[in-house]
Amino acid sequence: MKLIVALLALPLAAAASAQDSGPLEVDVVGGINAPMAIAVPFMPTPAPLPTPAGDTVQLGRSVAEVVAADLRSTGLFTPLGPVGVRAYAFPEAASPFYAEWRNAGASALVSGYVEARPDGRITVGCYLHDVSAGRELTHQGFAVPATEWRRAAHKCADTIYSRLSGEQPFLDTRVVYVAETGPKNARLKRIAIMDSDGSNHRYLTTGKATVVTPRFSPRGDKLVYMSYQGRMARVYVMDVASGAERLLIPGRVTTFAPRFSPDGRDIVFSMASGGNTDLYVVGANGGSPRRLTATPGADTSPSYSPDGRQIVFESDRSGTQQLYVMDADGSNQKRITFGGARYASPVWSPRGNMIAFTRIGGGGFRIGVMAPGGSGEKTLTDSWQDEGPSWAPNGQFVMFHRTARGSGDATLYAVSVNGGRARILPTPLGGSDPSWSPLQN
Amino acid sequence: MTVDRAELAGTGAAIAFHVALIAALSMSLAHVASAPEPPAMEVELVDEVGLTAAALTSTATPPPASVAPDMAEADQPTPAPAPVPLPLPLAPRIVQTPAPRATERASARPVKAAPAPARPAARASRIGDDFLKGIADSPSRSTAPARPSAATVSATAMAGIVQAIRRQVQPCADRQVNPGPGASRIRVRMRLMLFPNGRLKGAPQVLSTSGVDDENGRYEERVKDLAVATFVGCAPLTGLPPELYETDSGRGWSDFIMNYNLP
Repeated sequence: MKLIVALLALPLAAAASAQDSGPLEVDVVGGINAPMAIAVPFMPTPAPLPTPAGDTVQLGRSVAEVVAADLRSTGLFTPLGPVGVRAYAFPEAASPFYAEWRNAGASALVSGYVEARPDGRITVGCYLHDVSAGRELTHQGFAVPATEWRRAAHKCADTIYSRLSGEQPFLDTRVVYVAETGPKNARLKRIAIMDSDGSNHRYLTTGKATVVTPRFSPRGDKLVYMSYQGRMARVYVMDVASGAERLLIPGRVTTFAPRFSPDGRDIVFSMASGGNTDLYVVGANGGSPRRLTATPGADTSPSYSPDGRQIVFESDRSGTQQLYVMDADGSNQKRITFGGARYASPVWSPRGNMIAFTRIGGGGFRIGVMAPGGSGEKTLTDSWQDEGPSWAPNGQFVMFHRTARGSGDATLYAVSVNGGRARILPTPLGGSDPSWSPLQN
Repeated sequence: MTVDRAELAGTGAAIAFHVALIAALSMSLAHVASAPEPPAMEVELVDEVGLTAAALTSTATPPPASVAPDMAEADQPTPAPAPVPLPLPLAPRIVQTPAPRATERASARPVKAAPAPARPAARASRIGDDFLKGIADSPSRSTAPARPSAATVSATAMAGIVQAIRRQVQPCADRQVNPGPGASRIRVRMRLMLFPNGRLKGAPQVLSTSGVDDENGRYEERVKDLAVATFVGCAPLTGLPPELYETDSGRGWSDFIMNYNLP
């Protein structure tokens, strides 16, 4: 009885409390979908001093230029400066005059400084300010050898990008790719490595043997790729620092399409044997390969999920190239693409939520993404021939190469998974088969 | 369990009584909820009900609050913290070099320290001078306004305050950049406490967020930033009626809630 009365009383109490109680509430909805205007002025120095990479005044200008270029490359920002915005004195790095930057049209401000240290290195101070709110959002300091000032600039840009976008950093990374030069029927292909903004470019192979599909190890210290040394297509592993390379599977057997497992212990690859091409896995230091697939047709382009439990790959077992997912031991193989086109070169996102691929159909090759189960397919590019996707370590960008009609010249591009225009990654020569490194420590 | 006739009768009477109460109260609430929020400029009841604060036509003398200094700069006297060292196993490593502090700026740029008092001129009120028509603009009222009782604060007056606040911060809200897909589902609930002159008493206090999921979780901190920037960027609020700064019902603009989300 008491329970009944109590239940009846509840709505009365609630209704009573809803009347005119509580503080005043104001709902505000607002915002825009546009790149953020962010001021990146030249960074001052507390004392102009010489370093092996130039004096600290010049380094302050160079660091700001790299930070601005990095931020622009994300597509999320419109940097103001460093050229054309007012310079500021060293003490203002940590305590800017917000009203002036507001009046300049900036929503955010990157400030900082470059200082020579007694130990021969430099310190790059990096501050991010919310100009609208008039407060500092974050700051970091980086001490580097003066000759590595670009690393400090990339780290600064990563700090800004990460704080304002909520995404993981990705700008302090490197890229390996196949540098191409010469006519289409006699092209010289070498593995090259560079910072993700195109700087510090160098070649890792001589070009005596054609190489394709270089892939970074999870720590970024090794590469695995296919080379035609000895007129045989075989998989090699290279130590990036020393350049030393070794054959993964000894013998005269064709191996290709290699990729490291997420823990770096294994390498999964394709091997042609007995008129069939199947997937195998072997220890990164070699050993006896273990067979994962055994169906008629060509199974190739394997890529692990980030947890290492599954592998996505390409197979023509159904008659056309389609994508399949299986457990890492080869079990539970199932097709995931039914989109009426052909699909190739799948790569699992580092975040695990998407698979990038090359979609072949409608008269073109295009880069797309889909959920690991095959749903939510989305095309990211619309050109004549885009292929060979590789993920940025934060899973927000995909790098690929675009082949020009006629000349066959290949160029590296990167595009956001959220859409937008793909941007060119400038390389000294033509470039194909890119692989994005993990974030550098 | 046995229930005798008297208990049944009593229970029946109680049920009937409560149903009647619920019905009556629901009608009352429905009536309150359905009260329209007329556009601010259409409010004409000021003189009749004595809530002069709701009048939105012109007044000859604006209240002193409209010349309050910019909150964004006024509330940042603390020196900027020195860089915090973070571990980076390989070069480049983080350093512990102290960052320049705000106090250094005064000595380094003495010319720049002076303009602070001039800042208020740059921040014009975003509501017209006509917002306070009907307010007796005695200076004493803005510094020590009389508290209207809860019974005398009409829903119309409150709607006028809400609209005035929204109108002032909306330009700053419209400048905030959406960080990514799904961020617009995040709603930030923020407490703001103001001085009678419209300046913030302290940093906005984010009370909670809602609408955060696996897709947009990485944007939660950024949307909090945007909510803070939306208010601080357009502070101080000007032209709000001093009579409604505090009310007995606790619904004055001295202490209120702002809910922010991206469109």
